[in-house]
Amino acid sequence: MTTPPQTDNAPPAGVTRRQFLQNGLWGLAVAAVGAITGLAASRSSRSSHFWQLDPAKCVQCGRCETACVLTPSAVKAVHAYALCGYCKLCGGYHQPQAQRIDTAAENQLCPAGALIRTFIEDPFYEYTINEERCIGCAVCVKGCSQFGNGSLFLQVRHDRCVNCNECAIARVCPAGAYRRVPADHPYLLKGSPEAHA
Amino acid sequence: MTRPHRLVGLWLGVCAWAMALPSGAVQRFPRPDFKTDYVSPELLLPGPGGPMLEVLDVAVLAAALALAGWFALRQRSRQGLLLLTLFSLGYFGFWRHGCVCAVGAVQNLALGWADASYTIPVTVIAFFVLPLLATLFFGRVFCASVCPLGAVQELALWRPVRTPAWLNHTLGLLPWVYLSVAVLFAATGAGFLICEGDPFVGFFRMGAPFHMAITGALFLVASLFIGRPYCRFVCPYGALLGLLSRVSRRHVTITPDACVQCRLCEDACPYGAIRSPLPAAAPEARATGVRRLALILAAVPLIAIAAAATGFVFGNFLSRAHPRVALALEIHREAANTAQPMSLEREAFFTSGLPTEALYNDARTIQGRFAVGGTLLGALLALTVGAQLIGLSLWRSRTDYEPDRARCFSCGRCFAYCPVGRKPQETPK
Amino acid sequence: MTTPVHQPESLRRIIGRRLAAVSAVFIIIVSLLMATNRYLLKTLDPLATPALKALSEKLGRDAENVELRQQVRELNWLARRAFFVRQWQLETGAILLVVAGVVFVLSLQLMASGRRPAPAPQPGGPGGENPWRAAARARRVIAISGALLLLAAWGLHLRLGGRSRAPVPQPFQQPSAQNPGSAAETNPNGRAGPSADAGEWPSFRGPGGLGVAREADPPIAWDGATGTGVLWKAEVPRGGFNSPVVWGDRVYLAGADEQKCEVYGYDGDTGALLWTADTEGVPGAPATPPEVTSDTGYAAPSLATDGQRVIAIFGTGVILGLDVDGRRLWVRHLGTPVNPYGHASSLLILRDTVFVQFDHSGGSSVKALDVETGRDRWKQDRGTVKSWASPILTDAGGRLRLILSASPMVAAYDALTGAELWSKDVLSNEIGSSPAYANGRVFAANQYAKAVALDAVTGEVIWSTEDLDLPDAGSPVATDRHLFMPTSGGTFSCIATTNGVRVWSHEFDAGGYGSPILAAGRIYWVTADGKTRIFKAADAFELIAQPALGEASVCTPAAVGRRLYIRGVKHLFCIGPK
Repeated sequence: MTTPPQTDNAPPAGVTRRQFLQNGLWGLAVAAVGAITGLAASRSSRSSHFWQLDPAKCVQCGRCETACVLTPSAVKAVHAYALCGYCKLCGGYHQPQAQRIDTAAENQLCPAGALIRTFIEDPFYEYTINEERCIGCAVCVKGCSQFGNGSLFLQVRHDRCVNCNECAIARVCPAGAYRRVPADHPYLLKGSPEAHA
Repeated sequence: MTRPHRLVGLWLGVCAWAMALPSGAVQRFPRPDFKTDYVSPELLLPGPGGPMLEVLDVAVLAAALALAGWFALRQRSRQGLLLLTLFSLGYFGFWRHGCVCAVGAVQNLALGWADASYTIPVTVIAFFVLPLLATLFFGRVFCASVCPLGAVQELALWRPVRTPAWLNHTLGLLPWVYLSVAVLFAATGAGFLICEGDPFVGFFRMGAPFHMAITGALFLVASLFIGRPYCRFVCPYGALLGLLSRVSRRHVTITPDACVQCRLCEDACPYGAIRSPLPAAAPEARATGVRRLALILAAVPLIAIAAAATGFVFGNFLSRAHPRVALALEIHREAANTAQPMSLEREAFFTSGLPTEALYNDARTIQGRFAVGGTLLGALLALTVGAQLIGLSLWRSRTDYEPDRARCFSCGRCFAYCPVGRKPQETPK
Repeated sequence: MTTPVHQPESLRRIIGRRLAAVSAVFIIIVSLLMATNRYLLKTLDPLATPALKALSEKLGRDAENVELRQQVRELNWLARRAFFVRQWQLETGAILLVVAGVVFVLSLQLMASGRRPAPAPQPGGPGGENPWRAAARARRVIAISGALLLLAAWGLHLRLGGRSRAPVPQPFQQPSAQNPGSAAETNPNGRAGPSADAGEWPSFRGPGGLGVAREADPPIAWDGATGTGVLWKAEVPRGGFNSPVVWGDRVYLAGADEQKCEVYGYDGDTGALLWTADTEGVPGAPATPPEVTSDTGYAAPSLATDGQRVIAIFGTGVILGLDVDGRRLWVRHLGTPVNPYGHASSLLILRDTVFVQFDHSGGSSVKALDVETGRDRWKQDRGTVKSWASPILTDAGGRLRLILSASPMVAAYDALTGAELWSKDVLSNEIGSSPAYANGRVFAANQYAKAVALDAVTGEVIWSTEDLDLPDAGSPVATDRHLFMPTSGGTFSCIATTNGVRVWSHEFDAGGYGSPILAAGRIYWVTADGKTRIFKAADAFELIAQPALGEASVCTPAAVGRRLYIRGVKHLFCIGPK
């Protein structure tokens, strides 16, 4: 670095030495990058991971609606029909102070009107989610897990999720319910049709 | 709130189901035996994009890097680089929403290295390593026209203001600080700082939390007047690329041939990356320079020890950023006194039924990691500062105008300024 | 390098400038709109608008009003529509903003394209800077800012580092007789009530008023008449139906009649009466005490102690703070309780706060007083009629909740602020029985009302039953599985905490006003005949022993370590090994 004066007078020698140094450092850098790659590869997995929330841990705090980088959130409610009791009075559908057990707007819990109630046979009703409208606020999830079977729960919808490197909801989830799941099991569903058939 | 229960109770009677069970995932109401031929709808959920998309991402990245190298070194085409920049902005930015990105990938590597339960996706490794390799061969062509964050700033630059060299030298250390803190945070599981501080990802997704939107807007306005403020003074990945670029096999040159010392390119670079020729003799007595250098060399180990000690104790403070530590501190503080409404975190923790001892133990383990990490962080930062000071104290003579390899983004703006090899009619654009 | 073709360049610049200006204004407007929009969207729950809430409440009271229902529906629809319109605006706005941003940047480039300044090399290097001087300056700035950063880190550490240190995990039970303010008393564990140490029985029914002695293992055999198994026996000057409270080697009682209200401090090891304090000279107290019945008297409420102070309240409405040597710290008259039997709710203590349930016909309230000064920490008015129950303290869900039973409601208050957390109208008639708590559930039961289980956090009714022998004066005690209920008639029942179904019940030959306590897996219940009924807290009734005191008793025993303190009508007994 503090080149002796004579090298300036003899450029070929200086160039060679600088070149040599340059080559050595380059080799070192390549080795370092290779080492990092090797180390990383030893901890790697072929399949990529996606964010998902574990409904068993969820406390229905409502942050899924507000903390997602997307508006409306990539998290929406899903309904495991196999777990549903098809109740006439649904804790996830009706206001706690509901005057009548019907679909009148003032009796509905969902702020977005995304939960649809359909009559099947007396006294059973089917509840479906209008995914377009659902904002992931978890109000119905809370009601269903408090008064019902917990068949309504939240999931990250992978058609909407942009799979941030670190999920913004995971960062603020008070229950630590978010984790990375492998691509072949992208959903953590409550119950399965086989188990409850 | 008694009403629904009473009503539920009524309905329970209908079902001959005698007892309400405590909350949780319990089948309080059995699935009815439908008399009609009702069949439950199937639960259809859209899957994530397949692996093909990721292979495509890596392929596009590799191709873009190669193309950028070709445009910068062989073609010397600013236009080609600009077109590629636009493409990258469209593909990696708006199409892929800025995720996965090479800048943040270092955090995944740190987390994967520290946390055995986390596996690093191969795509992320490729995104981290390919630009490094490209830099080792061509210089920072990734910054020139592959990185979507760089693209936004490159395209936004309107009336560049020259930042003084001393400021460039000083602020140039910030990325190292950012990088080391981000690695510490990622490795301890405290979070991905770089992702949270990403200035432009909000634009790509067309929606961002308020603080990110504000940061993005500020950076965008700043990039109208200051050349690439994020790349030069913030980007942690840029720090790594700059280091590797110093020893790259080949690198962009201002002139395609021998420099004629016309000085026309002197003000061409808005990023302060053109170094002008320097005479062989230093402008001060040799003894003074040697003494200064000796002083710095002697001081660096001492500074490193002091900084390591600082990092050791400061780790505790930094660890508050870890949600687990924050929760432990909050629960402890609340238990000791003060009336505050219960935070969601606290409520969720108590709902989980885990003992506080486990939480406290976790917090202490994490703080232990922060102490170790903080020590390393302090020492490394001190060494970086020391290296910068030594670099600033050395006098190296230069005969030609040449790019500062660590700072040059290979954007090709200076090509047009060099009269060497240009046909007489050609004018710079 | 001036531009040779001037005209078209200039037009480009004009277009660029105009476009830039227009898009800049556009960006600013859209940004402002979006910021407002976003704020509204994040803060306003579509169905929580005050107007809609008010209307809905009105509808709740007037369910059959068709017109009102129509109004609610219309407003509801408007609120929901506004929400979706805002959401759509936000999405559209984001796209508009990005497009406008691109247009803005491009037009700026267009504007600048024809006008790149010719390179004009300045003497002395780029920008007229001397690289060597710049390096020297950079060295200085780096050194100074590095030093400042180090100092800042140390400063932050010294200011906040101490508070940043993770707490040391502590075993659940921790003796805290030496430092009553320690964190152990409000163990944030969430699994149990406030501290229950071997050395303390700080209030009626022990720590938190829950009737559970966690660490105690009191004896099961004694005879008050012969003195077998009795460590000491001391006369109590004036009578009273309050029960002993204990801290370390001190036992405190109160006694009163029409003439005098007194507090007694006994030596817990010898039974020596160490001091007597009275309530003479209280400003504002009436000259003649209120009328009360003889089965309540003036000294029915038990005392509370935190090991440094003793607090007593009497049927006259006088509340008194003393130090452990009987010196008066403060005294107040809370107002004469309007209560035909007499005030009976005991005090409850948490660290430096004492809680007073003050339900009477003259206006019910619950208060928290500073034990050191007697000043109000907080006061909450209650819409209840008179009651004789005592408060309990729970930390379900990690929050300290004061739970009170009265007619008509069981209510929970934040122990630190007094805020009412929930309230449930589940009781009726005269409530003398205090609530019980176990495993996140509050149990309230009273004769002529019913037995209910409520979620301690939300107040939701989990079950409710009426078809049982319910307590009238004594209070139930709960374990995770069972709720044990005394009656003054002698019927003692055990019901399941999960559903309120009777597990067993037993008819004793006597009952009483005392409350059972749980210690070492055994229930201790002192009946009016002075016998202590000891049986297993289990799925089936299994009597262990029923030793007699030798005199009648209306008392809830205090279980501390291997001792049991029982108050008879005349004497205070300490039962335990020598």
